Amino acid sequence: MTDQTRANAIIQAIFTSSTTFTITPGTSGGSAFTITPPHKLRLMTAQGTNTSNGTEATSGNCPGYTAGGVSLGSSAFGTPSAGQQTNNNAANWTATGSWTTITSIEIWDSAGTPLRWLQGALTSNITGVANGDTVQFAVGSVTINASAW
Amino acid sequence: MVEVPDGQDPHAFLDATGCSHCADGLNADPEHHCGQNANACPRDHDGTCLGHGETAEEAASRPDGCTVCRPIVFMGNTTLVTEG
Repeated sequence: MTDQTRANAIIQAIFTSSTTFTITPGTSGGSAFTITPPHKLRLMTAQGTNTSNGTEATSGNCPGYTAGGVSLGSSAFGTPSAGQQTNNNAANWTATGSWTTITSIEIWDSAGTPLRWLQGALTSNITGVANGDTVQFAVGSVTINASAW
Repeated sequence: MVEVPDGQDPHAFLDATGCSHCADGLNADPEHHCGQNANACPRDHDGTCLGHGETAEEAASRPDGCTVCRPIVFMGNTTLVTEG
């Protein structure tokens, strides 16, 4: 298990920072990597795994959605508490036609070649969306839980 | 009771009369649609008001193309667990 304070610090750096930063490990510490806010919320029609991407919704099967998702703002998630943090800003889409069922989401960054950071199933699928409807992830509706990291 | 002329979409017709359908969330029963009855719907909902529902599961019970009580806000929710 990871010390909770360390886990809090790491997830806060990754998901709350509003500026790009790079972690450069020392000798034998692996390759440097960069976190590039803002993070984006992408909608999936089929959930991926922790090693493979899901199937993202498209403007074709979910009219009103644009591939690549929407920004969760400059500080995407709030300060962690007990290893958990929630989204600071809402994400919204307005459907311009009927949608395929949304089963899951992924959180990506805004790098030139975006990196995927998180993936997971929705508590309930989003299904039955029709022209004019809104799909919304309200503030606090997406929780990152690193309490058991 | 509001009479909807033959051939007209009752929802559009009632909108024009100022009926808010069930936008207030209180009068989902068909008897409260300005007295209008779901039987009049040209899409034939078997005489039952489907209601708009408050959750995605309830909303999904409506047939494709149903426009009663639109638009709806679908609320997404999830917990993403980091696994060591």
